[in-house]
Amino acid sequence: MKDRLKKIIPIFIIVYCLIIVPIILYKYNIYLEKPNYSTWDQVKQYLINSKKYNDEPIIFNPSWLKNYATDYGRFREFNIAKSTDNLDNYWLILMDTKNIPENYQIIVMEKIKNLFIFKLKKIK
Amino acid sequence: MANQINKTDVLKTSLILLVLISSIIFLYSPHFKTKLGGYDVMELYREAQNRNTFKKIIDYKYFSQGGGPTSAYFNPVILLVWRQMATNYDKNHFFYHLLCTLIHIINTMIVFFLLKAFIKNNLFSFLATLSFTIYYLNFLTVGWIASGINQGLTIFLVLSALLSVIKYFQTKNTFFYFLSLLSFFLGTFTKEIAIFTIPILLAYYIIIQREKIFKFIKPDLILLPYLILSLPIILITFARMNGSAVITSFGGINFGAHMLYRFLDYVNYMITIIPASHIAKITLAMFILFLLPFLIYYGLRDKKLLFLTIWLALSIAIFIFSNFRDIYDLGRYLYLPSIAWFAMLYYIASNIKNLKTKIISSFFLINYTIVLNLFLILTRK
Repeated sequence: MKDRLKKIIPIFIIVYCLIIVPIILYKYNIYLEKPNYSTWDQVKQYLINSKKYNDEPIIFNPSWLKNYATDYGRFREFNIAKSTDNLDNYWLILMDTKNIPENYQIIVMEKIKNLFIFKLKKIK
Repeated sequence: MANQINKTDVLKTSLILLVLISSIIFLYSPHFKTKLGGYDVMELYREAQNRNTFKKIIDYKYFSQGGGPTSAYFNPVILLVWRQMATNYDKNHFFYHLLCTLIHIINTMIVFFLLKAFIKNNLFSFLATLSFTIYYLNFLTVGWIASGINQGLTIFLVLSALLSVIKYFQTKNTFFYFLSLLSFFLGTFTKEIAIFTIPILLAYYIIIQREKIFKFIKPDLILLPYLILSLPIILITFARMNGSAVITSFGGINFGAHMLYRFLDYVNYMITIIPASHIAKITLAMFILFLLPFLIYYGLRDKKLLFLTIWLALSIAIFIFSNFRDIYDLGRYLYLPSIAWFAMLYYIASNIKNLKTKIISSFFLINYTIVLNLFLILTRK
């Protein structure tokens, strides 16, 4: 038993160091990469895709989107990682047009399937 | 003679505890100026106002409308504490900070006694505890009332359960065993994560206490009451389903690999303390991955080191799937792992046989775990 272990362990260490570790590091490197700013198209795509997994309307402000999308996005292989840190803008996805918060102006509105997607700006 | 040794021991321990407590009081005092505010804090405050009866607090079907921390967990113990605070002190932030700091002081004392079971040298166990006490991320955790109370209280109960069971193994006094069970049971109603005391206990029992034979023996039953006591929270979690922090809406084939990267992220953040660059993260990840076989090799020869490594891995693993936000918002999740981390570092340093190497490594360790953190605390914006 011990002799067999003595043969297996060096092979395992070589495989681990030369194959497993580089693969993990390569994948981790991809995971750490974040594109600088997401475009409206990316955000829209993200919102549509995330809608598949959530039954309720989702409201994002950019900081939330940044937090949420960095991991959720990587996980689902959407590459939206960062949005601007301007908290005056945010994106909203709704089933209807009624629940838009006050003090916000609609900049972009699109209807895709049964969803309304808004890009809003705070009125000062 | 034995009496005299005992007296000196008590004196030493009291002195160490005094230093630890006074360092917390001195360093954490600026937190007391911070007013009650922020999303999670106000959410918990409002929740404590809304749930004004004991029945409402233990109602597991109740879902917070705010969608904040209270909707994610079934946490009646935490809500009871918040209810008491909100009723007696309303929005007087001083008392909330006092409570957070007190919890941290008690946790520090438990950590010291816990680490004494692994690190025989008093100086090294003191340094490891001091490192935990003034770790910059723990400083931020305690300063934020929501995490100071929630995280602090949960970790307090988890640590109490661990310390009591270790005392039980040392003294065979059943009082400690029941104390451990009680702490664990209360812990499960503080936050679901307290359930992970079981794998940590299992690792401790198998690695350090159990006879090395491959068949069932009577002492194995010691873990059964913990499993039975975890049933209520498991059933409640299943009953709540969507309102659980443990059950996420994410899934899929990439899940396991993603969790490994999250794990590396946490280890990286724990080591670097402040946000690090991309290259630093990759280098550290490389270092950790290549170090792993060595840790396993030396761990197989040294039971305590093996347990500390597994404890560290488990205590990080507890949190990797519970919140998917940016890693730098989640420093509070390193409150528990930091204990095993510093215990492991100082355990390794205290076991170096060559005196010269021991002095040099201790010098670097103190600079990294104490001086650097002190610097970060004292120069924070």
